[in-house]
Amino acid sequence: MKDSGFYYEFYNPTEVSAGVGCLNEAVKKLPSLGLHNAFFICDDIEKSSAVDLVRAAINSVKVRTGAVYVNSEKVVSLNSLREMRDVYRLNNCDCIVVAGNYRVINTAKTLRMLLSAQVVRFEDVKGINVARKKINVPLVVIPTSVGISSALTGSVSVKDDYGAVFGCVSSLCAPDYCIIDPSLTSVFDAPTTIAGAMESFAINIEEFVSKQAIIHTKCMNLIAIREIRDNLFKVVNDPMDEQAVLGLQKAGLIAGICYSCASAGIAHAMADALSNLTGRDNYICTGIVFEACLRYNLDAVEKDYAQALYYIIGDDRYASTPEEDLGRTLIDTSAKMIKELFEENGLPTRLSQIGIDEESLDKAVEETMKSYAIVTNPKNVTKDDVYRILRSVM
Amino acid sequence: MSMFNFSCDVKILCGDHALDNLPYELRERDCARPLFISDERSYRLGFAKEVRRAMDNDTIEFGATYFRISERATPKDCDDIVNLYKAHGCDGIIALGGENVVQCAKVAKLMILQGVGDFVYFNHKTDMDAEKISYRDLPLFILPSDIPCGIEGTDRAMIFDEKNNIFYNFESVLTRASAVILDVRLTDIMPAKAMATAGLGALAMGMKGFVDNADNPLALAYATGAIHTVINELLPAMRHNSDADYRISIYSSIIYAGIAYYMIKESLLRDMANELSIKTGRSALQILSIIFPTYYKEKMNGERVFKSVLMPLVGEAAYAKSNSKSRDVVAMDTLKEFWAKVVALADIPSRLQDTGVEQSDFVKLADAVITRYRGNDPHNNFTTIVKLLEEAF
Repeated sequence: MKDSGFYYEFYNPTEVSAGVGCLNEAVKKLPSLGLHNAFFICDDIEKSSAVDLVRAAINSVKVRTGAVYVNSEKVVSLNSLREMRDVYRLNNCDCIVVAGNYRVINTAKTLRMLLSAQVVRFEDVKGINVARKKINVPLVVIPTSVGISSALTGSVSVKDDYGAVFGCVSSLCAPDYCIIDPSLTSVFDAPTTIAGAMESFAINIEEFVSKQAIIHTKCMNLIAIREIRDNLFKVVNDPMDEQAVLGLQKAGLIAGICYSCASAGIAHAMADALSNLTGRDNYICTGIVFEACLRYNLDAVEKDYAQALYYIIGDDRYASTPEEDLGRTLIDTSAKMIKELFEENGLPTRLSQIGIDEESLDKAVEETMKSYAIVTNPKNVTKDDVYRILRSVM
Repeated sequence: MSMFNFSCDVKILCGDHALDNLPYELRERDCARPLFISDERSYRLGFAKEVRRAMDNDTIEFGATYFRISERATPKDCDDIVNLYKAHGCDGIIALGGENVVQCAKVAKLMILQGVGDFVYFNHKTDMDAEKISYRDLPLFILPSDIPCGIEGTDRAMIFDEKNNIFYNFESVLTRASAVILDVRLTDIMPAKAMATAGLGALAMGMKGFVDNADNPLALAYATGAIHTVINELLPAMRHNSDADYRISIYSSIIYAGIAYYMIKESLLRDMANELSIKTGRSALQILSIIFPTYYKEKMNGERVFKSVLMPLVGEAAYAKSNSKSRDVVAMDTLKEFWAKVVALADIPSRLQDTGVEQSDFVKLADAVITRYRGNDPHNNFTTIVKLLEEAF
């Protein structure tokens, strides 16, 4: 029998509950996941009411918070992980609940992997699918920001004792349960929300055109793009519009779910590399390079761009755009949207604004080429291509 | 407060060499002595051998094998599996086959996890949620070697006890598979007729899943993908039925459509399909391929989200150009036209009378459906069901 070479894996191990004000209803599920004594991790929202709400909600279903740990590192360090592991064990915790932004969720996912695999050294589980589950450590994530695309993925980043950042992929990193309640995004920060939404947008587009995309991930991506179109400007105009915030969070959620199957593309690879180099958030870096990356891939995926455009501009404009211009219009529309929103909110739009210069360019290129997202980019990417794109947005 | 839930941690491995990953998936779940179950058909066609071959270079050995599952899953099959599993100290189940094997494997998993040794335990408990919570898992791998039935990736399982005339409907996470592995090597050329009924059944599940899951973006995406695939690939799959890629594509669309369809808590359509399936001995997918156009016309048309179902049916460009006020009508016409084309090409039954159902059966059938139906839509009553049956007849 001849091989067609067609093969994919699709896996979304996380159960999701989402809705405005759903927290108290959603936590009723926790006892059935085997949660009794939670190790509660949160970020700098510790001072906000969201953490109190979450703690009260989980306590109301008889899940205790055995220990509370605040972590606001951009990338969690091995030192912090060791400390958290000791606190977890000392307090006889049996699960992890995390409330906060993508950084602290990354921290909780990493800790869960280490505890579940019962390893002493992180080196023992570094790499792709190395960690093996020894004990069950349920992980519940409750994102409190819009940029949540990484919350559901099986990948994490860790900073080692020498400051180097490396990634790790394991199904043990993926949460068991994710509760999305926009009422918890109480501290509204316009630039972060906008940049987070734009990152979801970029990842969904990249997943949609990825070499590994399948029909079902593509459909999810299109739904996510429509959610962003419908809700982004509502949130910009009224930050307290919780239904609109939920729409943006759904888009992020979908990007996270599709990532395990479709991966992403060159913009994501560059953003990761640039973020690790500069310490700036991924979504800032994505916003800077995205347009150039869209243009770079145009000839390979023009039809896909044309299809996705519908979900951005809607019926009338789509019907009146000449067929041959559809792909290009996606790029122009996306670029305009990002430029306006980034400039209005004082976000950087050039690499020079985040500290990248000719000297650091080599490192950025080198790190970009190491990313798996490069492999799934619709066009085969060379080092020269990466140099050219990065120089174009210096 | 409106909240949506989505839970489907069934891993889908699909395409060339998917089967080769079975040992890895077993090891990932600490499964060292799986019970391998199948039916005579899959054994005869050599699919069981393919599975053995995939395990050849591995240390994992089958705890036991059982290839005698009946053509229609029975309580006895479930009991036999449970007994074998326990007697041989197995720690997982590999289920190779069609609907019969899948249903048995799922129910057996639930019985083992709940400590139920005999199917008799379920007597007269016809709608069962998980009564006990089990923190243990029992790895279950489903390897379709026949047209899937749509429950592979769901928390559902159904067994019909022909002897006592009882239909058991299980809804529990304990019936959930760890993975579904769709490999070309486990499938064979499928007659165009079979492909047509299965494809239309998937389309029906996808349409229903689409309309009823409008607020759940994940279920909606599964339904959309399934509709899109069937619309674009069913006719080529029937014309080129030796092409394995088309076949796998339609099979996977059944699995994804099933996930969206069974996520709907209560469905009159599903209850009707199940009851007619019992009555006629045909699969629920076959029944859907017959009754769905009527159900759609009578019950679904005009629903809020119905206009948007045109999108996966015709694609973005045609959708954008269509008149937004008449999209529901265009959707209906498009579906009718597609349905008619498939039915004509494959020459498959399109009316209930072609399945052996008689008009004199309607009262009994409607009675059974309304007894089964747990929803609270007052329009779904005895009269409606009889009317639907008459229309589809």
